[in-house]
Amino acid sequence: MNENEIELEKLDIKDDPEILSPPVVSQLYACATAVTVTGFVPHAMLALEIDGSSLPLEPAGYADPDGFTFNGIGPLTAGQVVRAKQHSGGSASDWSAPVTVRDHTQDYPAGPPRPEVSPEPVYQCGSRTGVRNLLVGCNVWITADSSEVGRIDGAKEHQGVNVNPDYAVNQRVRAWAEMCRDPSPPSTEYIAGPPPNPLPTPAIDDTYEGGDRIRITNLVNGARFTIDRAGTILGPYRTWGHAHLVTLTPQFVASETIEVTQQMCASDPPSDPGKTEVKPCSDLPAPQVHPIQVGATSVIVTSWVAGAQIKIFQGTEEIGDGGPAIIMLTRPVTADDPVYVYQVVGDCQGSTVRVVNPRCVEPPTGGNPAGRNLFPVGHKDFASGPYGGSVYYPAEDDGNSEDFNKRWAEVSRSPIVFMAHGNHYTHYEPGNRENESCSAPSGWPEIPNHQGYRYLQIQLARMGYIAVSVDCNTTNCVGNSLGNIEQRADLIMGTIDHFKSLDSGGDAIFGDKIDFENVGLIGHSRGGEAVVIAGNQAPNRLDIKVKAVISLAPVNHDTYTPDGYAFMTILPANDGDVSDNGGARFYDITKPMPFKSQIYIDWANHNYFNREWVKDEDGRTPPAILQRGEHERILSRYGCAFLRTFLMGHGLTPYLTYNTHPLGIDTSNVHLSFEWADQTMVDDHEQPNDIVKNTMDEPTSQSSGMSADEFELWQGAGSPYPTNTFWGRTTGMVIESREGAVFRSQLNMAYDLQPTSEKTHEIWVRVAEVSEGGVNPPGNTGFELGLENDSGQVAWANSDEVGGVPRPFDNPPGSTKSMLSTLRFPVSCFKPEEGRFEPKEIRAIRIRFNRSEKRPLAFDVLQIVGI
Amino acid sequence: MSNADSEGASPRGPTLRERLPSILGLSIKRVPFEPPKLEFVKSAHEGVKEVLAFELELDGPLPVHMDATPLLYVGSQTISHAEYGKGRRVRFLAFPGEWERLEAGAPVALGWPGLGPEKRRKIEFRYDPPSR
Repeated sequence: MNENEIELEKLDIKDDPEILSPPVVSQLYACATAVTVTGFVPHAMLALEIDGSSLPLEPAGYADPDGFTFNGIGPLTAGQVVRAKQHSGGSASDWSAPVTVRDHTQDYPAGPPRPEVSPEPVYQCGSRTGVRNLLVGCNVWITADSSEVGRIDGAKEHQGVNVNPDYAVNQRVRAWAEMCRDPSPPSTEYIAGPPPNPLPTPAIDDTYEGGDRIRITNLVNGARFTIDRAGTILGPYRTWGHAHLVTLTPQFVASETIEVTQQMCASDPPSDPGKTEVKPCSDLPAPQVHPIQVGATSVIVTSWVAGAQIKIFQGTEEIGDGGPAIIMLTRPVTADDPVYVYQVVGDCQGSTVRVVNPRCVEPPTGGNPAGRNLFPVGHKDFASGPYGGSVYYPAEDDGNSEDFNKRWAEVSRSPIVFMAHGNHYTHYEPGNRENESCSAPSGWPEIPNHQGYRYLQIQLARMGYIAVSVDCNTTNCVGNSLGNIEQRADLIMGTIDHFKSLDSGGDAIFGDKIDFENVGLIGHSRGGEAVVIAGNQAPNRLDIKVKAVISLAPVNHDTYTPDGYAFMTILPANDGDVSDNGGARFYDITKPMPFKSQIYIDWANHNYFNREWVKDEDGRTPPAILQRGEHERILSRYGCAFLRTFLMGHGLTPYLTYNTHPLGIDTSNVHLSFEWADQTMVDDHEQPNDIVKNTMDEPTSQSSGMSADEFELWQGAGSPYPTNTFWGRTTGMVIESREGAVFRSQLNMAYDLQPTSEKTHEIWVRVAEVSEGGVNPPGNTGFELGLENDSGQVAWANSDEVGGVPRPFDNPPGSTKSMLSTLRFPVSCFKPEEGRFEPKEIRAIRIRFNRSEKRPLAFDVLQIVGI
Repeated sequence: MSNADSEGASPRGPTLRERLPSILGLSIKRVPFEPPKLEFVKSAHEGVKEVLAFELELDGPLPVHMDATPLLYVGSQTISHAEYGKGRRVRFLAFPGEWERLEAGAPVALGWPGLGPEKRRKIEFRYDPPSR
């Protein structure tokens, strides 16, 4: 039992049979013949209501893994309102949040999204295939060599489809879908290969006395498996592989043994049996739970036992009872008490409880901004004079020089993104990819440095972008000079001009397809500075509109300032090449137009964003640096959130402003800075009015032992801090104080920060713990932010409650960096010193140091932000 | 006593960025400058006709495969524009606006951006502004 767990018997909580969580109804589209409901307790009876008409109650089984699907419904029509409730143990939940049926072309104007075979690949003798990325209620089918071999009408989002006959070797397999007779593109084509031989041994997750459900893993895609329970053989079951849940009767008894064996082709031997022994109920662990934010209306369970029912309390009050993974609550979480979560499996009640202390700002994790998969992807290499590279685009089918996607072309022109790589070797030894050279020994192939971002090009193309990567090899293997960067920018602008000519010149693929009003640029390293130049100059020179620029681990000659577009820089803290993190200086000097973003990543290196850069720049290997895949996910997910927002208007900045975390990233390594235009600047310390006045030209004051002053927070500046502490290009404030010391910054008027139906307010401030050289001292530090109203009342919010002050990246010797990150303090986080506090007539903002250990903190860009 | 092996940390050798050649020779002179001919980009060096060239002879090559290549430190000022010549010769160019900030007598050394000037070797050269 760890510090986040407690024994159930030590808590004064009691199951309230009247409490049942409202279930969740999936997004619905017209013509759907099925509705999926999740979040209910095992074996609940589900009620479904469509436009006020109730369907008969249905026994629902388990919410895990993909809920219960009401089939044979409708078909639904746009505008209908659907909701559900669950009944269990004589009680009924409230109705779920109503879902209004939409026409799918509102969200998918070029037709339903592209089905994905998942898991992949498919094998000879495979009997079942999983298909995902489906609109709930659509029709899905599988073809093998163009003949339909399986179909489900009224599908789930991730649907298993049994195929008959089994796949033969070398058959070409695709999944298809339709909604309202509107066809999706076909899935990627897979060729059925021979199955693994020998087959892996299945594994079974820990199973507990009193339960009746097992989760089997290590299954081969398309296998059939059987379950041996005390000599009774159950099955065979078909599976799409990876993991499979099965309900068994009667309930498990302790020490009982369960075995699972899988088989593919009848002519081949089955696998060895995988076994598990049922554990006693007393071993049932507490579930794992995603951190919880104050105000949350649901709890996300991240790990649980198959067949679990999840019970949630705050203090002594039960506020949720449902099935994983997302459990709706009967009321929002408050700040007052811990949240307790335990699981029940059959008649086994867990004796260990997960304890979660809700925080005022604790972003939920959900969604993958790079995961939108709508179209097949065509690709083509291009060359025109000095300009060359590769382009990926939404196409009729996957492949080289395929036709541009006709449906998408009818909807709109495509935004276009140009990418530029950085400096790297240009040739490699045949048979030894890691031996690279800047010369060109005879027979050594050229390194296609521009192809290293193919993964990102494909992700963008399948969302509807044209993604061009510019070959800059002719500028590689020379010293780093501004002239070299300008040459790269010239290649980027020449490539843009080339694609303009394709668009206007009737090119067979790109003629009249490109939206030059929505151009994005991504540059890595030297390319990261080149895209700043191209972004600044291309609009006038080429009559285009650059809306978004991503500068990834850029060099920076301190000559150009990003200007005229939304700007993002991604900075690897462990960059062994551009170790001065020059992008931080771009971020600091850039005005948000309308937004700027900095993503600072602990343990990330310089090279792993480009797949052609096969080694770490300093010869390091994980865990000294992050895995290559983590680098790619960070670039893809934050980068696509940024590009989709500013090139397609998808509103995904919550991923960039610490409101939502993207799936699949260890966000504890990711530190965000962000700023919108047109917010109220209290103090950015850039004015020559010294520490005694703020940006509003209002007075500041220091009390109770506060020592605050303004410093140039950049390398080599005349601050008293070590040379390697600050790396940006901003003037900020550093405080050194004892506990309880206060800095007060007066506002230029009384601000009413009370929430309205249209707007809420937050206080944003960039902050960092200041490294004083050497290794970080143990433990983090922090502060409190205060709002002072007209009558002198103060309410405070703790930095630990909103994500915490980032620690310097500690990679000694000599490279401990303090990089400022933005903390958001919603006005709702502020608690009064005494009595009641209303956030109106706010006249000052205070900073109070609240730690016993004296440690300096840096601050910058204190703003009042309207949301 | 356990007979289990355990992982021991090996001392880390100098990384690429911790190795720099020494300067064997240095000449500083004003030289004519012709901005690069670019088709689309308006260069920040447009209009520059003369630069201050630091011509270095080194005892080893400078790496050219990395993005951030070594800088020339003249005191606390840095010069980044580098042109790599044949053999072990390299020329750093200080542009107008840069060279005025250089202080006579300041030590001249190579260094990596972010890591500061090379400190392992004695600095033999100092900045001596050339006369016109």
